[in-house]
Amino acid sequence: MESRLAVAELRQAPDPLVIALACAGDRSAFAEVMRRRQARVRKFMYHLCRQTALGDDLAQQVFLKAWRSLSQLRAAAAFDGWLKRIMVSTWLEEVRRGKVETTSAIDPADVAVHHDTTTERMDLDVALATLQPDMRLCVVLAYSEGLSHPEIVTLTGMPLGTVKSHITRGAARLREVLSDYGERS
Amino acid sequence: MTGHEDFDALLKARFDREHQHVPADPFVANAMHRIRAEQRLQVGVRMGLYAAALIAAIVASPWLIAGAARLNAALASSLVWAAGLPGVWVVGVLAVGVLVVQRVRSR
Repeated sequence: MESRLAVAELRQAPDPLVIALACAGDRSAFAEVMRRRQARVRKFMYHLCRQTALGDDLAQQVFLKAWRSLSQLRAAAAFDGWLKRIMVSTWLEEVRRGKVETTSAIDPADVAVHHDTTTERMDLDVALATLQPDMRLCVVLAYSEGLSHPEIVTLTGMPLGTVKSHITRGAARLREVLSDYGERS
Repeated sequence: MTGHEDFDALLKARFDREHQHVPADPFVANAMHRIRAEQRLQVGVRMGLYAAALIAAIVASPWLIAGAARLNAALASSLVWAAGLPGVWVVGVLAVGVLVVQRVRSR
């Protein structure tokens, strides 16, 4: 479908309008929605899978699924929650396929992934890779997405006790791993 | 999340610092390319299915016509039979049977 607004107008348009246009099948509007949300979705996937290429591929799958089922979206205001559900389900599908790796021991080569101008520091994603996939998902949803425990329960379908335990133990493990490499979280 | 007692604000700050600059291009362009490719594939598959259904209907038309003629003849002969005396008896017996079954079930 041809866009009703020019690209420059879409860039300036408010979120609800752009989402409504995308829901009506406007591809340019959907591209704009993607441009506005891509950093968050990719960051979420990078934290979970640690690999940039795989993270980008999963993020693209998220947007592809969103485009396919946009007509099911009832209100533009619900878009972000709905997208979050797609992000989580895409990750869980990847876990079910058995493509997600968990590192039991940290490879010293991974430690200095980030080269800051003054210091070399432990990559957070490397530390996250030491957590089991379910625990990693709960920690990322809590600390990266800023979700509450009940929201994580709704998104993942895990029991509340499991979610709380995953977040507490996962955060403790991250602190331990990061401090082992001379870094305070 | 910040309302929880065991929330680690330092860890949250660490998460916030990571992956701060994620440029939209070429990610958005690649994703849109995938979307366009999928749409093209969907259109192609739909057209293929229409064409296959049309060809199947053309190929099967002699059998379909013959089958329809046989069905028509069978229907006509059964109507003639049902309108005659044996048909009336059979329909009557069946109606009585249905009434009896309904009575037994309602008890």
